[in-house]
Amino acid sequence: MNQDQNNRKKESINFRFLLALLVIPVFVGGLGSVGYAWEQLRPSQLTSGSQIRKAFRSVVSTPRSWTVRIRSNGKEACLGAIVGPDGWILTKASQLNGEVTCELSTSERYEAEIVGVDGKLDLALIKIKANNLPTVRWQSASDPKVGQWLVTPGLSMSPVSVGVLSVPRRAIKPAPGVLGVRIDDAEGGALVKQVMRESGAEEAGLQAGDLILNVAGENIKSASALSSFVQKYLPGDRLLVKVLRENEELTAVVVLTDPQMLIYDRLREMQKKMGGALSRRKTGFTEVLQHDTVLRPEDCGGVIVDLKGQAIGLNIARAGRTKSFAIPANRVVPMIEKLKQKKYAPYNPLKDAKEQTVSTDTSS
Amino acid sequence: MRLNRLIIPGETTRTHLSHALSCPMVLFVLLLVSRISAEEVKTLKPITPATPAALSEVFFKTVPDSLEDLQEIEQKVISLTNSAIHSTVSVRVGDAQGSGVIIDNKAGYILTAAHVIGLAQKNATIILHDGRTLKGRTMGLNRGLDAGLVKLIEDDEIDITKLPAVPMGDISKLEPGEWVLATGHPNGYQPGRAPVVRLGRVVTRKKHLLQTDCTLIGGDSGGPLFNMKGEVVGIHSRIGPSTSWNFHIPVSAFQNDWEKLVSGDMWGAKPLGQNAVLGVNGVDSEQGCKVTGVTRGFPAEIAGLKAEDIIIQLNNQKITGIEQLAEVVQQYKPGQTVQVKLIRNKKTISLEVQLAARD
Repeated sequence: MNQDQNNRKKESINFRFLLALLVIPVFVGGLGSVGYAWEQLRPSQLTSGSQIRKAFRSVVSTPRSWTVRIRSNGKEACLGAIVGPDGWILTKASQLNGEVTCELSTSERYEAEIVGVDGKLDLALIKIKANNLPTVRWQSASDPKVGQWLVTPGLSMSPVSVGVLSVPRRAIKPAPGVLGVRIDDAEGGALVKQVMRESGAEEAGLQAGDLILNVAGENIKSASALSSFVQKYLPGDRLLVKVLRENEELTAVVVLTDPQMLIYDRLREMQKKMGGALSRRKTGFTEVLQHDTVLRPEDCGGVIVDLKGQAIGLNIARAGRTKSFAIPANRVVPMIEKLKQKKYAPYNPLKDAKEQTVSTDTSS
Repeated sequence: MRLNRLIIPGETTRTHLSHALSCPMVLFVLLLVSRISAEEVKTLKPITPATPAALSEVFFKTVPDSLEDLQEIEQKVISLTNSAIHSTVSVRVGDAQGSGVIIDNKAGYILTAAHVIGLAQKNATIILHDGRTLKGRTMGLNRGLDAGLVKLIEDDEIDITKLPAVPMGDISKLEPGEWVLATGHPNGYQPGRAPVVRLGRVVTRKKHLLQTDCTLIGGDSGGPLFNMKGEVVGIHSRIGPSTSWNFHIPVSAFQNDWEKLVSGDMWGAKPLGQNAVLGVNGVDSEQGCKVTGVTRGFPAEIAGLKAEDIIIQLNNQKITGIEQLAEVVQQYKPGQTVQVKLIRNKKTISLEVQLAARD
C-alpha cells in the first residue's frame, strides 16, 4: 500500500520532471523566435557612454591640456580653452558671474581676471598668471562634414562627450530675453506685480511691489517702455536694475531669462525631464556648427575637436535635446586679439550701466 | 513610462511662445509595453534585395576601441549622409507637421508616422530637403503601431522620378549596438536648415518598437532611421525622458501591411485621450442609425441633433448602424468638424458637428 503510493508519487515526480523538460524547450524556443528582443545595450555602450568615450582617449590626449574647468562664485560654470601660452583663456561669457577660478588638466588652480567680453558671440577672454601653457591648435581652413565625429575634451583622459556634426554652418536668430516679472504702469516707473519662478528677477531678489526706475542706465517711464527696452538684450545678458522698495532705492543685477522657460512650470519641468538642462544663452549667434553631442551647459565654453585632435570650434551652447552649438574656429580666432586689446571692454553692470557690448544684430 | 509624441501641432508656430507651448499640447501617456501587441510576423513584402557590400568589422564590435575604428565609422557615416538628408522630407497635414522619407520615386511613396497624418485621404504638403514643395495625399495608417503612408501627387515642375529614394531594410537582422543614423526636422521645418543628422546605436529591439540613442524631439515624428547600409530600418515615433529614450517604429510595420497601407486602410487603436465623440445613443435601422437620445452638452446636442433623427451619412461615409457609426467617428480627431446627414420628418438635412474628446 505504502510502497504503491510511494511508487505513484515517484512516477508523478518523474512525470512532472518530464513536463518541465518539455516546457523549458518551449520557452527557449519562444525566446529564440524573438531573437535578441530581450537584449539591451548597457549605458556604458551608448554613443556617449564610458566605453565608447574611452576609444577617443588618443584623440583628446593633447586637446585636454588646452582645456580648463572654470568656476564662478564657487560654482562649476563652464569649460575654457587656453589660447595664449601666457595665461589667456577663452570661454562662454554668460556662464561667468562673480569671481572666476580655473583648474588646468594638471590639477593646478588659478584665480582669473575677466579681460574682455563679446556679447555677440557670447565669448569672454580671461587671464591667469601662468606661463608656457599648451595652446589650442585651431583647424579653421575648412568646416567639418555632416556626420563627422566631434569630440568635446574635458580635463580627464576620456572626453566629456562625443557626437557628430548635424547641420552645416548657419546663423541662429536671437530670441529676446526677459527679466521675468509681470509689470504694470505706475508713477515714475514700472510696478512689479509678480516675479516669475526660476527667473533672473527671482534670482536677483526682486519682489512684487518693487517699482522699477531704471534698467541699464535707461530711465523707465512705463511698463511697455521697460519691455521694449529689455527686448534688445539676450537671455544670459546681465542688466543693472534700480528699484524703489519702501522708499529706499536698491540696485540688483538681473540675468535675463529665455521667455520659453517661463511660460509655465510644466514646460520647464518637461524640459528638465526630456533631456536635461539647457544653456541660459542659446540663441543669437552669427554662425554656429550644430552637433548632436549631449552636453551639460557647464560643459560648454571649451574647444570641440575632430578625430585629428584639431579644434574646429568652441562649444557655445546646449540648445535643446537634439542640439548643441559650436562657434566655428575661423570666427573664434580673430576675436582673441580683439579681446586682448580690450576692443570689447569688459562689461560691469554696476559701473558702466550703458556700456553693453551685447548686440542682437545678426548680419555678418 | 511617459512618452511624448514627436509632432508639431500648428503650422503657424513661428513665434517662440507658441513653439514652446506646442510641446506639452501633445503630451500623451503611453504604456510602452501594452502598446506592443503580440502579432505574428507575416511575410515581408516590399523588401529590397540585400546589398552585397559587406560592412567592415568595426560595425560588429560591441564598442569601437581604437582610433582606426572611429575613423572607419566616420567614413561610413559621412558616405551615407547625402542620401539620408536628400530623401528626408517635411510632412504637413492640416495643423500637424512632422517628417517623412521617400522610399519609392515611381509611385511617390513616403513613409511617416500615423500620428503625423491622422487620417487617410487628406491633403499633405511635402517639403523636400532643399525647400522645394510638393503636394501629397495621405494613404493608409496603422494607428496602433503609428505607421502612416503618404503618396506624392504628380507635379508640373518637379519630376518625382528624379527624387532621391532610399530602400527599406531587413529589420530581422537589426541588433542592439548597431550604429544608426537619424534624420528629420526637429522643432519643425526651418527654411535654410537641411534635415538634421544624428548618430546613435540601437539600444534595444522589440517586435514593434526600436529604441536608439539618436536624440529626437517634436517635429522629428515620421522621419527615418537608417542602418549603415543606408536602408530605412525605422520611423521616428516618440520619446521618453532620457536622451537615450528615442523610439522608432520598425520598418516591418510598413512591409507587413504594405497592401493595406497602399489601399488607404485605417486601423489600430488610437492612443489614450485621442478618441473623438459625437454624443448620441442609437439603434440600427433600415436607412442608417436611428438616434434614441442625445447626451447633454455633447457635440450632437449642440449641433441640434434630436431623438428619432436617422443618421445616414457622416462626411463621405454611409452610416449603417450605431456600432458602425462609432467606428466612423473614431477615424476623426477631437475638435474636427464633420458633416452629418440625417433624415428628420422624411426630409434629408445636413448638420455641421464639431467632435469632442471622449475623456
